[in-house]
Amino acid sequence: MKRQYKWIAFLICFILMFALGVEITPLSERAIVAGLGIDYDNGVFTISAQILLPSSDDSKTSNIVVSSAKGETIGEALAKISSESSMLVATSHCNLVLLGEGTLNGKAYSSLDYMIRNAYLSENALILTTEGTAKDILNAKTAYSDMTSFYIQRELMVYGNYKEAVHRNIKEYLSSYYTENSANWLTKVRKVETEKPQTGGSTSAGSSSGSGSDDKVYVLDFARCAIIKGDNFVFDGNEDVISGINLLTSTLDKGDVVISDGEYTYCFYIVKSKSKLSYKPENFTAKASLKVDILLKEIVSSSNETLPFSVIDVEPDSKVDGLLKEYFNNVITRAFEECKSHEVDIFDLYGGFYGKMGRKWIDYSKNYLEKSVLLVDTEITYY
Amino acid sequence: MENSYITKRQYALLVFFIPFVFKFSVLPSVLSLDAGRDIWITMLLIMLTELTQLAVVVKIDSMGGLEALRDKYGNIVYYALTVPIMLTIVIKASVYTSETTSYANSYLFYNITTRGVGIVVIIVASYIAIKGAKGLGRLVEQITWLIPVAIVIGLLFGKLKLKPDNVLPIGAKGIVPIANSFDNVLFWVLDFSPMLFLKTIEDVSLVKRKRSRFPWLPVLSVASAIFMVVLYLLYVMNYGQAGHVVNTAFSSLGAFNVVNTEIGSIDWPAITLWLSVAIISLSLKLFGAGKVIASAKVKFPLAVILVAIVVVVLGQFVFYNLERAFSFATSFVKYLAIGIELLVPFTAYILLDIKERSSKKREEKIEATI
Repeated sequence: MKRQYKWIAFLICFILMFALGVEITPLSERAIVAGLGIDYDNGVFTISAQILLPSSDDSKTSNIVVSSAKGETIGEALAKISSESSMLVATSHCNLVLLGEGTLNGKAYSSLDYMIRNAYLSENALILTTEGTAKDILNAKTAYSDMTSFYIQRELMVYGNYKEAVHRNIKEYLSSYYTENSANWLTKVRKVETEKPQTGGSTSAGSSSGSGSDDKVYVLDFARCAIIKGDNFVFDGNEDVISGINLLTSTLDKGDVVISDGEYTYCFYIVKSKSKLSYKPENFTAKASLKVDILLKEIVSSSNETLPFSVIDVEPDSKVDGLLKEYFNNVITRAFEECKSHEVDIFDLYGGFYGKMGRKWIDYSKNYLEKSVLLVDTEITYY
Repeated sequence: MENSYITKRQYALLVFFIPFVFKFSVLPSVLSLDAGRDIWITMLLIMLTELTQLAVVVKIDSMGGLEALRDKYGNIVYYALTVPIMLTIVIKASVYTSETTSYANSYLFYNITTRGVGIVVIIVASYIAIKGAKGLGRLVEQITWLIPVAIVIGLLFGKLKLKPDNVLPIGAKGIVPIANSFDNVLFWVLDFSPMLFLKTIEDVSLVKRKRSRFPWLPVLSVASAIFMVVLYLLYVMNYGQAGHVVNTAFSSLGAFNVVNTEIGSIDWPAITLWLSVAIISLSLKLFGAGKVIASAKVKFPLAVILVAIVVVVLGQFVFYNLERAFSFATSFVKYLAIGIELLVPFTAYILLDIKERSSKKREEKIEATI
């Protein structure tokens, strides 16, 4: 008797599944979005989707297209792409969102509304801004990959955090947006023309469409960042600003540091860096403790002298050690001061001071950024 | 009561799992609106209230359960207490079904009709409920393994960026936002009343292995409270003050979400765990409500099916979306629900205690006479 219930329940489930309309769209009829570009101009969104199209033959290869559409909302534009391609646009596998330059002025947050409301676009998707339009970046034919979206993800996510390039996802962006001072930043991707590499073989993936279909090939550069406050773009941070932000807000495990003492030029490699902030709200002082594990990679003499080589040359002398510490301290301080001069509290000192002092801080915090000082203490371990 | 028996270990596991499923989905987001970074304090208060109810429910079980109440006071008292609790269970199950459906739709079937998912979930839950306490107990034991799997995979691949500073300052905005958030979610507080219809027994296999003395219930109930508060702390460390924009906390916080590949992220283990526990929790509610109807000489499977139909109608046609379910659950209904959830177990306990004391006195009197 008891077994009957099992089969009855099973049967009802199946009948209902079909009766209530289960839409099963086969993979071949889905446009799998790997990267989404959002541009905004004059009240209209231009959405560009880099799409993987399953091949119709048995070659097991995919075609790649960048499809764009305009709309007053992101949903509307995506629906147009669906209708034009006669395929269901699936963003469940999209791990990259590019916000074009125009989107940053007042539309950065609202353009993310679609992602927040629709759980099937992961909050862990990378979010970047672009120099020029996002469409242009997605269409760029890169020298080392047929697909810009994968190229960016590999560069930022798979190979770890570089000093000049750190990945940042939607969740982190939102978390910064909702701090009291709402200071935010996004890595800026720009394309740099390069020579076409000579390859011996052929690639299996298909072709890119749009402006990237010419002979020019590009590499993508991530050593800039857009500094944002709330919904407004404030300024473009240079290499120093992004290195300073990265060193203090992320754990780095890659990146080169080149310093010179006039006589020799040293190249070091960052094995790992970690940082911690402590606060003294009474005197508006924050202290950043940076720990860097570093590897000496190369010494170049400015004269023609040939350096005696020893395999045990690991730790440089105190002068070079001092220069290295100074380098790290300066990079972080410069990033802080540069943002401070634009009235952006990029390291959220407000949150730190408030956390330490509690309620009293709210009355105490008047003009806090002006008075705030960031001290940096770097500890280096040589490998 | 033949299908109401559950081993003490299975009972304790249910106690561990029940709070975390519907209190760690949409609730953190709702609590964040009022309490902000102090949501973990609200959860601490909620869990203390839950454990108080649990203590009463466990005490009633040790006194013979609701069947003993019926034997000692008759049908009128029994139904006066169980019918309100049954109605509360049904209403809660309907709102929770709407939440489960929304969750499943968001993460599993973004192109399936909402009603289809909800109805299928209830059919599965009804089947488990009909199988009785034994089925529930076995199932809860089987899904326990998902927790170590989740932790191991999370440790191996997860890249959860936590900022402990997000928790500070603690209670800076005073007690009012915490109290408001607690008041707002009263509907989700006190979920142990369906366990009034379970009867605990010793696990024979544990007795044989001489491990029956392990205090499963105290350990797992306290662990459950700690687990919930820790999850909320992690939530704050992860999202800071952006907690209110997170759709479903457990899947979002599930370390697997951060295992990104070029074409997506692996979040299945977290989803599977949440969904399994949600279905078990709904099954327990259907089981409890079914037991009340079955006590009026209705066949138990039929009683569960009747409850399931009401839950489907309410959950899928009245509260057909999460917003409707929430606006209903945060209306005056929350006071009725918590009132019943508090009053019924306490009243049942007091009544059983009175009888127990009077029978003890009688026994003492007889002994004294002899």
